[in-house]
Amino acid sequence: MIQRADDYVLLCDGPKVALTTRSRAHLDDSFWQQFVRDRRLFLWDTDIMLNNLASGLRWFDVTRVATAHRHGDLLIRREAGAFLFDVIQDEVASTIAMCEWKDGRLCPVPIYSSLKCDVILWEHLIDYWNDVYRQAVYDVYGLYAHGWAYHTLLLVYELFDAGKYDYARETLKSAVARAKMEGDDELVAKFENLEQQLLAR
Amino acid sequence: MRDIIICDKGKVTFANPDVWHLQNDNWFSEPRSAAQWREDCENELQRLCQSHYWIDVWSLPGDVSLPYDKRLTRVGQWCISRIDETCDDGRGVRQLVIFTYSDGRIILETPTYMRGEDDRLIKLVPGMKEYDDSWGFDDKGWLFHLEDVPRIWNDLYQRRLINEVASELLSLSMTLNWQGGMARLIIRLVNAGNYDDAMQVAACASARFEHEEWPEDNLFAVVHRKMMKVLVTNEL
Repeated sequence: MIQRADDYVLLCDGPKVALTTRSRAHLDDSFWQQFVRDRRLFLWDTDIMLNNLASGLRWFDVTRVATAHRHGDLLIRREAGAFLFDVIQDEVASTIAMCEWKDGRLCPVPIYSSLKCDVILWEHLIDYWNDVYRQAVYDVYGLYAHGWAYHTLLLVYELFDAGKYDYARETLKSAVARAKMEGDDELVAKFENLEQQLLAR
Repeated sequence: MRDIIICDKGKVTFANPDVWHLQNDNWFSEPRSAAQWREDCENELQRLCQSHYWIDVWSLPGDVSLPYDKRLTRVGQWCISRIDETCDDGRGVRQLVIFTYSDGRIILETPTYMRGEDDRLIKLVPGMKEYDDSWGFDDKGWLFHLEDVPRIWNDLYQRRLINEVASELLSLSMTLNWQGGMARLIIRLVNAGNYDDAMQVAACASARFEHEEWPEDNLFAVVHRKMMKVLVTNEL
């Protein structure tokens, strides 16, 4: 399947690189929305997720490249103190990323191209996951993943899922009052909307 | 009964969980200021450390060429087994220790621990390259690291304080209106250890109480304020 260049992600771990897609690297909202919607699924361990991802990727050590090397869909070219990464689709190579070689590791440098992809250092991947998770929370609840409103919302869902409907409803009504006392009309509307949704279920 | 192990890096002592206040006891019942609590914890930890006999497990013989019984050290109902085995790559020696408890009726064996940085006891668990599939890894909560003891005490003390705060809602929880429901929910959340959720529910209930302009004193506001203080400062 032809991928758009911005669907690709180049992961760098020291001298190793792996070309993958945003979805395989868990960088799309849809993956995280399942955890947002059901807290019982939220048992993921980042170490295990990182290990699973790392073992499922085809890594290549760029220090083995003399001038150019083809590694699956990835063509790695060495030029002066940098590496250029081309993706090959239909035998056409397009440069999607570039990294400098510094102190035994790859450091991404910006390229000016409409075909570039994200270059993510392995040690920063968890930060990206946190960002995507927060975005997924916002997409689902319209709230950022912090603060009393978010925690109260999760509690309401948990109570509702546990069949404690009275507790869930009274907590929601109290949350509406708190949002009103804080003068946050947007939050009042969100909680009232949620109350209607839960009542409908 | 000395049925737990306290370890301070490579030194261990066999102890009674009651003596070390590792479960709720009267020592936690007296309310103190945060400063007094910290001081009491430091003094109590020092007293307990000084009143126990500590054994440096890594100084015990573990050479595999020695007969098995020469690598065993008996302390009351406990037995310390040491093994020094050559690493898989042939370089260096891996030092291991296992503790066995026997009271004549039951024999319990702890997981295997490896000598780590600073002589620490590192529990070997599946997934570690040093782990052997024939070993167990469930420690049944026998071994406590000395550095974790103050945290356990803080948790137990915090639980006592927050329970005391939540108990202020007991009479309200007997009512059948929304206030009774919220009071019962707060108490349930506290009992389940979900203190942050309990505090947020108290804040929401307090806001509702104010918003609906109930004439009585706002007990939820009092409970919310006290819970926040306990969670932040560990004092009432």
